[in-house]
Amino acid sequence: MKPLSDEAVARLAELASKPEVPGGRYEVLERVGAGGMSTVYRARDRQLERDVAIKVVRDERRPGALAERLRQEAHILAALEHPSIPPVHEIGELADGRAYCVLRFVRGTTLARAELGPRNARLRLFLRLCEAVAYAHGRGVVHRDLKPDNVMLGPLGELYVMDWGIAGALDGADPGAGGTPGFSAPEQEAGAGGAVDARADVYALAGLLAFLASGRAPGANGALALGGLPRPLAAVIARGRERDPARRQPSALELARDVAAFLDQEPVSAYREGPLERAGRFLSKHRFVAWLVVGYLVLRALVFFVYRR
Amino acid sequence: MSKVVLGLLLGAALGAIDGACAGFYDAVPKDQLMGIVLGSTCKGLLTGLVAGFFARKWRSLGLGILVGLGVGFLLSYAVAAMPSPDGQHFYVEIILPGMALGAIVGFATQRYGRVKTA
Repeated sequence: MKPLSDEAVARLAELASKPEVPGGRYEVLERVGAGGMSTVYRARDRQLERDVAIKVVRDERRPGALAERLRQEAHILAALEHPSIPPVHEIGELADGRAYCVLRFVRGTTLARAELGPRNARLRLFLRLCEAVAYAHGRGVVHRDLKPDNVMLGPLGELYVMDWGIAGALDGADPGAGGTPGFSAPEQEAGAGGAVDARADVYALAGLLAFLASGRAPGANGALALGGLPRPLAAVIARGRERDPARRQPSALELARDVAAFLDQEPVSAYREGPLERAGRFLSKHRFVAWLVVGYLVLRALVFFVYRR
Repeated sequence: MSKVVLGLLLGAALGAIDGACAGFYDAVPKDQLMGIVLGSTCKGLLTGLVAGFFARKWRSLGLGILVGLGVGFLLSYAVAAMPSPDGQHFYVEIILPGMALGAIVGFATQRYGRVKTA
């Protein structure tokens, strides 16, 4: 008998691991992603005739802890009603005992792979991301794993903050280690537990801001390449990436305020500009009026030379 | 910065430049230059005030520029109608820059500056 190829074995394994959701409401169509603790499938909701995402705990060896984590994620998402946070529809348990939750199926691409256009458009996108994260903070939730792979962009420009799997409460309860090197805050990597608060997300957001502004993600050691960025913007990022949480912007909204100020060519709190820079920014902001004044002076000179008496 | 304040500042700055330019004309007595600069600044202030109030009330770039042009023309004409000590009139030298000042201030107050909301 001819032995099966590795590809065939992998295919069979994938088919075998396809979850069967009890009740027959969902038809699992394909695997769309996998993370450390779960696998995500696209499925068809036969009842409402729409696509949904089904997130299933991945590791059967530690089902209890991971199932609890997935339930916690579902409860967190259920508490967050925001256009940029995908809603959860249902949680349950598969026939094989693995926990699952049904979520909105988000079409689009991750921030890491999207074509994002000019810098100011990317920064405006960042403002929307900050709004969603600030909303979660306002509801007492810290994401703890913000990175380009966890932000999705829909076909119409919708933005979604994904993967709340290691999100935790702001009240100090530590949901355990996690995060992504380069994006997770030093206090989070050190396992500071209760010390991890909204400012850990500010650190990750500043990493995302660096990625959006420069196209380069922070290195695994957190190092940034900010060369070529305008100084005020680089200062905003650098402040958000301070190792000491107390020196960062205190909230996602504060970080967004600085970025909005930069976009509006207003002074940012993270950067003290000199008189020349201030004058340059003023002229740049009001360059049209400045050109009108120059035009006026040219007209004045012309009148003088033509009608000289 | 409100539209009225923007109009006043820009009008005053351009008016002062306008007045100072009179110093380049040999026919203008040097002892009258300060008075001309002050008068021209006031003219600019008045144009900026009208343009600023207009911009606060009506949002129309075209009308804003027209109002600026009109006010600039009227005020400049009033000044130009006064002859210099040797009886000369400086119609073009005063009216043309005055109208340009009005147009610039009219444009700037329509395009820039904040409208106070209750």
